[in-house]
Amino acid sequence: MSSIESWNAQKILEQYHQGDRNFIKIELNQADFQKSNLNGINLNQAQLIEVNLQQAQLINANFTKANLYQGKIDQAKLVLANFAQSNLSQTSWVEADLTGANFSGAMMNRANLAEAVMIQCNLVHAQLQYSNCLKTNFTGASLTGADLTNANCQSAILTKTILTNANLTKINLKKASLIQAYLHSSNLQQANLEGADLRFADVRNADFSGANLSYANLENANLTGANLTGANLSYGNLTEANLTGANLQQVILHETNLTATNLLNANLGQADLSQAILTQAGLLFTNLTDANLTGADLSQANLIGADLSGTNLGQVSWSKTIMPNGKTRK
Amino acid sequence: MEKMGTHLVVDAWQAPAELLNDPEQIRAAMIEAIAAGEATLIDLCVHQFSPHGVTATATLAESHIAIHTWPEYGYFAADLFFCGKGKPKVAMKVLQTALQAKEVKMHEMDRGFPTASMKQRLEASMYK
Repeated sequence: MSSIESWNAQKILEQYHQGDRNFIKIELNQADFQKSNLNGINLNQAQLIEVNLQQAQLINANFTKANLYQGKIDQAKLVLANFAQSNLSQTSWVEADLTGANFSGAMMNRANLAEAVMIQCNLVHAQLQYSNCLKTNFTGASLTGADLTNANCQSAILTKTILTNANLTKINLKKASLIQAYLHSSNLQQANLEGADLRFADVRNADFSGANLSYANLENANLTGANLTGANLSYGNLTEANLTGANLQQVILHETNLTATNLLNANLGQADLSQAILTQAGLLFTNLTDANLTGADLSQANLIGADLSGTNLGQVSWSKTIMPNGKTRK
Repeated sequence: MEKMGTHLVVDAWQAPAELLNDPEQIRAAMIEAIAAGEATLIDLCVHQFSPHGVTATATLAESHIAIHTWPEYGYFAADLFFCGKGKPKVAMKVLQTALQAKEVKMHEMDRGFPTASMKQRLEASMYK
């Protein structure tokens, strides 16, 4: 390859069509590759600030450690491309196909990934603070250790997505689909999960303190050891969820469906359970001190060993409820 | 030996065929094993073979867990490699329980360099 100063987009395309694929460390800021076909190109460590790759085809391209700051990559096809450790801050990827691409360790702060396809992507330790992931499809992707603080992931698809130890503080996941997602030990403090679908999700030891989970569906989710202090789960569905040992202090569970939910050893001190459905719920050794259970349905619930000191039990429905002393209340 | 990690190589028999041929059950068993082994999950791939058999691989921050099942023989082979922290034996016990194997044979191997001096020599040669 000749000296990097003489390169421009047209020359790259000519060289590419002659079979050249290696353009390592090339400097092509503001280059225009719109609608170009550059499958398999190697742009390792390239300087591509404000590059235009809209509607381009770059299947299996290599952008490792490249700088694409403020690049426009909307509607591009980048299946299996490699962006490991690259600078992708403030880039735009609207409706891009990024299936199987590698973004491990990439800087993607304030990137616009709205409606992008990121199925099976590797986003381990990627930085996505303030990114726009509206309706982005992350199915099967790995975001272990990623930082999505303040990201907008409204209506995003995160089915079977792995988010171990991810920082999701203040993320917007309103109406997002997180079915069977793995959120073990992730940080979701003050996150907005209103109406989100977390059925069968694994959120053990996750921190949901101050989060909004109203109208969320957590049916069969595993919340063992999770911290939900001060979270709002009103009108949600926790049917058959596992909340063993969870911290639910001051949580709002107004009109929440907790049918057959396992709350063994959970801390529900000062929680608002007014009009909650606790039919067949397992409340063994649960701390319900100063909780509000006004109008709650405790039919067939098991309260053996539960602490009900200071609990408001006005208008509670009792039917075959096993009380803390082991006696059944009819 | 300059130990880099612990490798458990496991053969397990007399497990129910329907469990060993169910990718969702295998996935759930792997997730339980990872949690019990105090490992950090990075990626999980579960593949169903035709007509039967499942292979699942979990990439962990601590290394990996892999399992291959032969439902027709009620047999599965697993290997668990953990470097640094984590509890591979606890993870294996959970796998055995979840997949209901009645008989298990486990080999434990230390992985790494035969001697500390060999590691140092090889490290030095890498930077020449």
